[in-house]
Order: sequence, then C-alpha cells, then structure tokens
Amino acid sequence: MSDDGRIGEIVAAWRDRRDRGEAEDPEQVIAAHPPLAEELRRAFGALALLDRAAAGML
Amino acid sequence: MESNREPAAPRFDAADAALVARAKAGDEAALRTLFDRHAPRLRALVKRRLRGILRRKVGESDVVQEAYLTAHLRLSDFEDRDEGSFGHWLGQILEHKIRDALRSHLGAGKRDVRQETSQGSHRAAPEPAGRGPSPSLVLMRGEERSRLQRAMEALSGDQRLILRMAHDEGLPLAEVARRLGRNADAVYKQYGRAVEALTERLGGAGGS
Repeated sequence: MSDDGRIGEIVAAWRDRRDRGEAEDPEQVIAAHPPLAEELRRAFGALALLDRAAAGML
Repeated sequence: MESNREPAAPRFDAADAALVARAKAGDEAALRTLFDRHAPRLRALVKRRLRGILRRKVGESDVVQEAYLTAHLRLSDFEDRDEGSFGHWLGQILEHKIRDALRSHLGAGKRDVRQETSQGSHRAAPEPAGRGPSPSLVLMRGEERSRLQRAMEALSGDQRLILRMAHDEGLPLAEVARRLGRNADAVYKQYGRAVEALTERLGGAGGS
C-alpha cells in the first residue's frame, strides 16, 4: 500500500539482473529490504505462480 | 456493418498492409488498430469453433488474447505475400490456439487435468492409475490456476501482455522491449507495475 512503485522497481531490477545471467535468490533481495520484506515476498510468490503456470505445473 | 459472419480472411486491404508495415516498424498503435480491425472476425471464429460450456471454460477472450500475443511476437516473421494474408495469418494463429485450448480441456493434452475439478464438474475420463498427480493436488492446482486466471483478467491488456511475454514466453525484459518497440526503461517500469498489480489481485483473492 505504501511505497507505491517501489516493489515493482525492486522486482524489475532483480528480473533484469537475472536476464543478464546473475542468478540471485529472491530471498537475498527480500533480506536486503527488511521494511518491504512482506510485500516483496508476496510479489515473488506471484511471479513463482506465473512461472509454475507457464511450466504447466498448475 | 459486419454482415460477414464467416471468419474467412478478408480480401486485400490497403489499410491493413499499411498498418502491418507500421506495426513491423514498431508502431504499437498501428498494431492495436490492426487487431481491432480483425477482432470481430476472430471472435466469430471462436464462437463457431467453441460452443456452450466449453466456450465459457476455455474463455473466448483468453484465446483471442493468446493469438494476439503470438501474432505480436511473430510479426517480424510475417510476410505480406498474398491477398488478405494478414487476416489469414491471424486466423491461422487463432485456429492453433483454439486447438491447443480444446486439447487441454478435452484431456488429450499433456496438462489436462486441472481446471474442471476446481469448477466442480467431474471429468468422465478416469485418470490412469499410478500416473499423474493425486486428485487433491489436482484440485489445489486447479484452484491456484483459477485464482491466477482471475487475477490476470483483472489486469490491463498491456500488463497481461508484458507478463506473458516475460513469463510464458520467458523473454528477457530487454527483448520484450525490443519486440514491443518500446524503450527498455519504460518496459522495466511497466513490468514492475504489472507485478505489483498482479500481486495485489492475488492477495485480494483470499489466498493461503
């Protein structure tokens, strides 16, 4: 609710790094942003759901 | 004005050809206009091919949306060779999507058992013993899948497109930007917003 746009920025930056071959565990990202940990966890959860659906695992 | 109910490809259309050229050059508005021009035909095609309950399950707009996405991604491969070829090409993509959707819903596909259970209707086809996930897992997955579908439907078409390109197609964001003819920074922002919107929708759906 607060930090409008911040979660998206962090996740997009993480995704960009991953695209460039830097495999970074979402947990590391979450740990680096304690005040946003809960929201970040939910956002990464949503991405995991998308990926599982794309992989035919849903 | 659309007396033509048959989803046959239209005859050569100069406006179409001009729009294709602009869309290939990265003009997204041109691509949207192009899709809009063909939307009634595509929807008519889906209506003809999918009837009754199946149409509700497969989701008319989902299939059309999928076809748009594929057309979008493959536009650079498309060559305007013959009369009405863009309409024909788009129709073929949609046919393919409909077949995929039917296959998955009729159980001949590789990931078939999921949706029906979550909607309470039982499939007549028994699961082969000892193969596939347990019924409760199927149910759980079906629920998750429905939840994801509902959340995705609540997003804007543009957000859905970006998420699908990045996740279903697995494209790097830079490539998504290139294919959409957009600035990479803009796509990063749009991706971030889309993730936030999806997260919010999923959260609101009463998940675990």
